Amino acid sequence: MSKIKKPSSEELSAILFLAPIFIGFFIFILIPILFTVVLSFVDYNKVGPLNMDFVGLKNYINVFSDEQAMNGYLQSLYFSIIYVPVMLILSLLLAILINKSFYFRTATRTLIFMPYVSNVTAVAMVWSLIFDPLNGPINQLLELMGVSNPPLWFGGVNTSLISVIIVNVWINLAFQTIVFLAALQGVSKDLYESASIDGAGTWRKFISITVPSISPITFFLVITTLIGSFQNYAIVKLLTNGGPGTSSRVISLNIYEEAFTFNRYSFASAQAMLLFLVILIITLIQWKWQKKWAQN
Amino acid sequence: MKRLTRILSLMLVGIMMTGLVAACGNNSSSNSPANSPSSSNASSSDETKEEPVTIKIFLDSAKSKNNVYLDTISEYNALGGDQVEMNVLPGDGVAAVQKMNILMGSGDSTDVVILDNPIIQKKYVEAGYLAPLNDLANNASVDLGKIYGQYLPKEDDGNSYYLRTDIGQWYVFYNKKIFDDANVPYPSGKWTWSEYIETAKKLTNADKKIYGSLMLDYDNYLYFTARQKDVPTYKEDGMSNYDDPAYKEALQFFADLGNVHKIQPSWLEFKTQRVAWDAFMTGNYGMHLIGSWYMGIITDMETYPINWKWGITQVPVPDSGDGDRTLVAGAAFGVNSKSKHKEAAFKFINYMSQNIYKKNKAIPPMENVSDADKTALLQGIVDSSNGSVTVDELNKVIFDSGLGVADEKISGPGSSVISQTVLQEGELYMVGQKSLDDAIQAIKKKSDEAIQSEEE
Repeated sequence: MSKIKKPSSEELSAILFLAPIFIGFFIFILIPILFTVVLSFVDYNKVGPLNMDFVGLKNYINVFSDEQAMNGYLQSLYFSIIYVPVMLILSLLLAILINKSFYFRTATRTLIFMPYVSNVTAVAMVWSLIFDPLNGPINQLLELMGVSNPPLWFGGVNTSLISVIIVNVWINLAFQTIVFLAALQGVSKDLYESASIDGAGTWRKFISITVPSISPITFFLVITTLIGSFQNYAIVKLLTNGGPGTSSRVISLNIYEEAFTFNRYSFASAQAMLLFLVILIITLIQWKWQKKWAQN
Repeated sequence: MKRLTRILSLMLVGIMMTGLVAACGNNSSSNSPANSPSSSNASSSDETKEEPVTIKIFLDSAKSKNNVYLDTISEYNALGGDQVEMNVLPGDGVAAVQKMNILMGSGDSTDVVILDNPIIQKKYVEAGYLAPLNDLANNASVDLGKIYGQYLPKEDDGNSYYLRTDIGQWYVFYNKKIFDDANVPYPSGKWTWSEYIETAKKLTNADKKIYGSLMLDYDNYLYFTARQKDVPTYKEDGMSNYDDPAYKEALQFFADLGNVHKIQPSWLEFKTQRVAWDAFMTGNYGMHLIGSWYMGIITDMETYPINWKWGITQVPVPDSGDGDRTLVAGAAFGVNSKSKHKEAAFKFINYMSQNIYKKNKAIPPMENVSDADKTALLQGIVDSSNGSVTVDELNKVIFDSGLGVADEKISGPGSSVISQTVLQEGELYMVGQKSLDDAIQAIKKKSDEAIQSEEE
């Protein structure tokens, strides 16, 4: 029998320092995730003591026949398809802009970062006033410009989700911009100088130097923005609460309502696991795509 | 140096571990009001020895700071018997209930459970969370039937599982200044919805941004007149009765108040302009249809230092003459079936039911309330009304309106989903995104699905 090696004091210190985060991860993340998996296979769908009757895939099958749940996935997908590209393009453009030297650069950077540190409830209140379809400044301006039927923004079935996306982009643009800015500043100036000597224009330099150089960061942002967009809950809850009707009821809001308003814990858990699978599949596809792109 | 580093490392790890453990602490710790003893009594007490015990009561954040509850608990504790401590649920309203649902599901043994509305009351009875009160009452020599009479909620098994602390009726509160400015006489006695609309039209003044009426975004506003007609919410086969024409009429009626008659903010205005639940207190609304709990708001001069007088009158009734009813509900408390001190908990909820209404300026949930008690209750409201109302006026509306009563909410299988569906589909109709027939059909369909799903 081999003798177990006694850890050195340095190793012991490392273990002790890592212990809190591991214990926290275990208690607050791993156990709840595992419990969600278990819940999704049992029949705990009403107020009452925990019912652990195994029902197999019943909750998962029910998700596919539930109009509201499927609508939630579609709304989230719609949200992500618009939000992710808009966010990335705008933040990259903004990063390129503030990477240049100009007057009040520091002040501008601070201003750009302000929405990110603002209280989300206050942001929701301000945007509700701005997008007020009856007396809001935007619609008043549109009416002055001759628009006879200005949008209902948060109050319209066809505009509610788009309005939420606009606000969400406004809030989170700063974080993406700062990350892109850091990536842009990491690109060697020598490359641009060499390209200039070779006669490359601004667009060519952007496509052939900037884009490949910041691609790892771009990939990171695509993944995190996509995951974040599927998990979007607070801002939707505050701005529209999923309405009018269910027009902006994204899946994370639906999961919350199913679990805590309707007390269908197992059904909500099945929806959460399916959401996890959707995000996992999309992320894996992106990984593969990114690897292929890097090789090329 | 190495020794110092080791000591520092251990201290840092210790701090982090303490932080982790502290973060796991229960937020719903006991907040004892005055006179309550230490909680250590609870575990050492044994009810069979009839020694005083310490019991705990769930209260949401707002109620835990409300003098009505603080004083009631303090007064009960001062009697010298069992002692009561609060177990505060974070948040208010829906958020607090959600937290309590989770705690109850995990076997929490907090002795007294707050049941703010009929949906929760029904759910908790069906879930087996509440202890039947009949035996507890017998053991305490309390005749529930004699005290509470028609206001005693009974389940199909003949047992009572909770006691109400008030009878929440619906009234119309009105702003006398707006009536005076518009030269409109104050409403009084029986009146119809047509008269309400006509009155509100006279009060509405767009230039001054004054609406004649205010109603909120609760689901029951969307089926108010159907409930007044006491139209059943479920059919005999257990399915939803939402395809009854009365529900369609009720939804159209409510939508028209804002969209057609323009006497109150339309649903779109209400939602997009985020009209507050207590907007009536801004003084910009002539009349407000709301439950009796609002009496506590309108007399709270500290929070709402209003400079206008108010009045109260009974709810209008449908012109058809078949809905001479106001709607009723009531907050209640029950005994947790997991409580270790059920008898002590029962005694406390019985005490609350007979005392909270006095502080809350609410209708007593009891059968035989003496005239003296009624007058004292009304006088209490008058005293805090800043000269707005008289005992006679209040008596006519609260105890002598001549109106019958009907349940305020749809409570029964699938009620949470039905409530939300009514709001979702009703909203689509009211903002012009769906026809009335389609909205009603969708409510009926989704309600039936919810009922079936719950019964599976």
